[in-house]
Amino acid sequence: MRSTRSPEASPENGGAPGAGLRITDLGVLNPQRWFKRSPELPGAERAGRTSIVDRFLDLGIYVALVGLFIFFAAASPYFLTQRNLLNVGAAVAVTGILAAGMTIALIAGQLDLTVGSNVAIVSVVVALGIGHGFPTPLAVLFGLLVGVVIGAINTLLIVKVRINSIIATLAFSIVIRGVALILTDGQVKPLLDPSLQNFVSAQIFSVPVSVLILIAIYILGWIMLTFTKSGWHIYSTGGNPSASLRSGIKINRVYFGVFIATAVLAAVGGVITAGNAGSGGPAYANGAEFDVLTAVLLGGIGLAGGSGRIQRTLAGVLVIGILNNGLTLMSVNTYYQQLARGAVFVLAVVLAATSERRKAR
Amino acid sequence: MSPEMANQDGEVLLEARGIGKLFGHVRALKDVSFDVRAGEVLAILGDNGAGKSTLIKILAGAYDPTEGAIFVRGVEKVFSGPREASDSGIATVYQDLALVETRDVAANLFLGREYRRGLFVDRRRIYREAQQILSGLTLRLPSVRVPIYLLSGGQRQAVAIGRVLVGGADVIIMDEQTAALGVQESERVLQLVRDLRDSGKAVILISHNLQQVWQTADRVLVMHLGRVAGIRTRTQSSIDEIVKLIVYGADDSGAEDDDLGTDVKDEQ
Repeated sequence: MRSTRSPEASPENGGAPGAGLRITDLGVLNPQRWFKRSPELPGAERAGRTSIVDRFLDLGIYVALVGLFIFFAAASPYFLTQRNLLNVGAAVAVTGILAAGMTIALIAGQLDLTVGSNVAIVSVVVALGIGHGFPTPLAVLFGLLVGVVIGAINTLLIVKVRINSIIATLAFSIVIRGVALILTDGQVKPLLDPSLQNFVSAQIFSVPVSVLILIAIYILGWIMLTFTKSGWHIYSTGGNPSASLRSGIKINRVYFGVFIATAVLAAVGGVITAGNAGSGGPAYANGAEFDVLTAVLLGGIGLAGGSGRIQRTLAGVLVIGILNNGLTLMSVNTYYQQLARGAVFVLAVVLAATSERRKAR
Repeated sequence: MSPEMANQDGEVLLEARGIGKLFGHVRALKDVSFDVRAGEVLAILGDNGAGKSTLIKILAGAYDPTEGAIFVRGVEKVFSGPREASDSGIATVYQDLALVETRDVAANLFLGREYRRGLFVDRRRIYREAQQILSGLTLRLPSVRVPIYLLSGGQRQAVAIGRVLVGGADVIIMDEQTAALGVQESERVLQLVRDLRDSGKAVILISHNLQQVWQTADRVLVMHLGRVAGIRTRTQSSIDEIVKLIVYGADDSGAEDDDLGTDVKDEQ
């Protein structure tokens, strides 16, 4: 007698039973996805060419940067003074360092919303460390270690527990800020030793150390992303995790490295914040994630992962820094400044979505 | 080179012996045995649910076989993952092509296999070798620096096939490669397949479209309800015979395949 089994009953028609599947416990490796075809472009007419619009979107951030610079230079006599430019530099240093980390995370297709509370708790830990009589370098080391721990917990939540990185880091950021509040009893803790303040505000060739750290991080980040195997793997993991895994890239290790890098960079931002403010506070860098995201998205780092250039993030950071500074110089009401920042954030998201849709066509 | 001249005496590169696969209580494959030789195109055909994809995932190292063994050049191999299979010379061109859209052609060709010089990726060598690999393929690409999202379907196929060559594979499994392509692009991909065969590779073509692969295949293996219904040399068979195998299976297989499929599930 012929078997009565209908072909639809086969495990390979989509109803694959879980038992026996080895690599499918990773969401990205769901075999169902293997059958999805990459979007196809309409034939050869678009093959290998970028349109003028794509090119404009590519250069837009640099155009905006130069445009704003010229505009404020003309609009305010104070804008081009050395003192003001140093102010801009100091103001963008922390945001810029956080944005470098966020860029790496976004290229890997992840998001890290703990960076703001990371800054706060690290500034608190540094202040408390010095308060307990530890020498400043050791207190700074404690702060950076806190960053490593935050990065490791983020990785655990996202890779092992497999929670979406937006939700995981948003939730965890609330926990971190809670811990910072408990540690300080809600108070701002002054640095009892001025050496960190002196270090951060020291100038080499009249450039503040915080700005030099910013520049060094972007140069290192650019080299890492463009020229090292780790950098290439971050791009490919963000662009197509399933394909990367099937090509033998250990994507969980990539995610681990990315979240550690992001968190340690945020911790560096926390140390500089403590130095700038002369204190550690549990409310510092509240909402910094959104300034950082605005800068990164303005720089054209795709939300979908796998694309973007870190030097463009720096341009995005400078656009926002110059905008904030220029609006203040022109004595625009702070409420309207808030509106302007929100509008730029929306614009950045729209730009990111537009360029992604153009790629997906 | 005409298919009639295909190499029937090539070295056996890959052999499957008695492969079986159970998913819990559901049997997907039973006693699948075949071999594939250098310079040969073996088409694996079968209706939906015949066991083609399961078989391919076992060969590619994505699934463990429940029974049986795989031999590569006569040596038994147990793959713990796709990477191990490809390191043994068996590479799969996935149906979704497994390309990173945002990266350029060269980065995709060398994905996971990037050359290094000291601390850094050896970009010069990667771009140079990528150029060489692609100039060996009949399908032209504008440049190795173009990101994948700007390429056409056929060009993407060429990149996916090129990547298999980078890995040095000599058994190449292609999973439903032409299913999504138009007539012209399918023909170009099949030309790539013939080029691979003529360069001494063994190619396993998975398809449910007999018409498309018939002219390219040297031998045809038909799967039916998780078993091998028959293996035929194309020149000694006909489309009619193959269709009968696909639809009815082997004539004598009906009575004894009771343990296949739903009967176990009925107990639940």
